Amino acid sequence: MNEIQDEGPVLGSGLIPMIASIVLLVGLFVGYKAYAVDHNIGAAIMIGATLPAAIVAWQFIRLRRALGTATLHMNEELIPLGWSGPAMYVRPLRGATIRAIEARLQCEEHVERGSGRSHREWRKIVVDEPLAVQNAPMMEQVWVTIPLTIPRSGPPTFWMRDNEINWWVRLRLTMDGCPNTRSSFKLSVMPAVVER
Amino acid sequence: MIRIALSDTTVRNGEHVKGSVTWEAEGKTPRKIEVACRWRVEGRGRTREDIVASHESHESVIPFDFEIPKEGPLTYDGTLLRIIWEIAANADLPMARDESAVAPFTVVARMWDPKEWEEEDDDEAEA
Repeated sequence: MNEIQDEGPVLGSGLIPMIASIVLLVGLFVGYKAYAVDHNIGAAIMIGATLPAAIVAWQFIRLRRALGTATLHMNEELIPLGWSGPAMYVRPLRGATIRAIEARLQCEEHVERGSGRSHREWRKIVVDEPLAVQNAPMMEQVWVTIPLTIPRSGPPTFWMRDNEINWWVRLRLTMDGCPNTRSSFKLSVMPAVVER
Repeated sequence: MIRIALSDTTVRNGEHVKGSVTWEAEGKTPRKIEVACRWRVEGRGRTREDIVASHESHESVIPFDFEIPKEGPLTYDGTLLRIIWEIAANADLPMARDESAVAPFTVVARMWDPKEWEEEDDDEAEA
């Protein structure tokens, strides 16, 4: 029932990949120009400029393979408004250790207007609640129990072309041994409310 | 003049919205009066509308009884979008401008009964 959207590793703040990209572009340009004057110097500049980007790309691929895909398990297939229960977050964890886990329950409005160049879209988080998680790290994977409560007064999941209301469980893992990682899981909340 | 009277302005999804449409005018007789139950989503995005049910009549008093789908949507007043339910009536007048009226109502969540939704899930899976 729950749609899994695992965004995977986040490479720090994005500053290192940006610097690596700039070094690559500038280095290739300067190296290409220098190549005409001196083949050895030109080639050395281009190889040197490629290294940071290659390291960032290799690290990203390695982490993506190592961490795999996270899943969210829930006992109930259907979730109404006011529902309470646990969800289990499971992620492969090969060699990395978890320092902190931040989990949030969010309800997001998403609307679109126009098409082509005039296409615009807006997103607004209308419910944002921190979730208290219980972490049970294993050798090869992490199990996180997340107690969830869907607000009784919240809107159910809604979809109409260009207009959506979605519920999300979003997690951000701060880790040692690898860059931070985050996951988002879409919940389908039914238009019915549990009795008090 | 066309008037809409609702028996209740708040209903749950899966229940019925009931009431009547009354035509009151001297000398004018509409060719027909159309009554529709509809919802629309409006706000910053594109406006969308869906007519759930409608019927036409030549009477001056038209009772109506429309079922609100169990799947909703529910009435919602958010930041970027609003979902509005309403009964709309339109009188088609000969040689004159049509008259219309709208009566909004609120759809709130029905009580949760997992069996109702599981059966539907099974039906969808079979289909």
